[in-house]
Amino acid sequence: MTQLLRKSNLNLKASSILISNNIFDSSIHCAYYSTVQLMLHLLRSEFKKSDSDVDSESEQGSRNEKGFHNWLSNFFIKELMKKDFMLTRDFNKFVTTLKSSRVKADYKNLEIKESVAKQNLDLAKQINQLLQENFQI
Amino acid sequence: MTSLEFIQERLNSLVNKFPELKCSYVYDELTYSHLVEVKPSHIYKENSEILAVEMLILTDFIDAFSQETLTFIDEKDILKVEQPSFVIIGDLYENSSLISCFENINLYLPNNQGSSLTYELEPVIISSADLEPSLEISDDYQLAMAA
Repeated sequence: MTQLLRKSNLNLKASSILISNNIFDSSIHCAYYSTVQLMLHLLRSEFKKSDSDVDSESEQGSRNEKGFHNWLSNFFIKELMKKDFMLTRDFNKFVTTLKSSRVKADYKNLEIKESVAKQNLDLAKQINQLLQENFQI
Repeated sequence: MTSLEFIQERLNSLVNKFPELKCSYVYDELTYSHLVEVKPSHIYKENSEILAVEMLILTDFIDAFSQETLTFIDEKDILKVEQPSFVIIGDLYENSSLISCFENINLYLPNNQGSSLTYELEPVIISSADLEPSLEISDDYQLAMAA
């Protein structure tokens, strides 16, 4: 197991623990990063990309987090599109929804309710499952 | 061409090709995400070609704008396009004939793009009092584009 895969699993677990302890705002951050770390793991394990490959292909690398995260999800959208269009559509919707919730939870002056936190944890689980079923973990 | 111009052009083509569609667009600055709500959602089960064209638009968008995202959603999704920047309605969209019940609405045909109706105006909430009393109001008519 790579460190990124381990971190992905831990973040999913952390999100669930935070929800159990009524810490809903922070749970979304963990749920979102679980999916990002799984995608980063797959770039290396399935697609054999090094850190420098990722930096050069994403053009701006880590200098622009939003742009990098979009590049990352776009990479998997194009890979999933080779397999199934409806699956791709679902993946795109789930990731965009979770990403939007994460930004609101982390940066906006609003409270995250329990139902929203649980909804986003479910989204992260669906995204991770979809990735696990379609790529070699 | 900007990403917005790309999306406008390709959505116009999509609705011209499939005039039973309605596409509502908004840009989410928080996530650099372009959201397009496509109605009706059941159309995907009836016509698989629509999804194929949608995926082609998405592929071309990613190739041109890899650090932005374009997401197609429908009315059943968590994400909503509540205040669209523009809406494109095909002339065979199931409820488009009732649009004429609104006054002051500005309709025009996209240049050389067939017969789809495009509204690129500020959204205005229409209350039930603004409608003909005999009309049944669906969710689609809560939001209209007014001049």
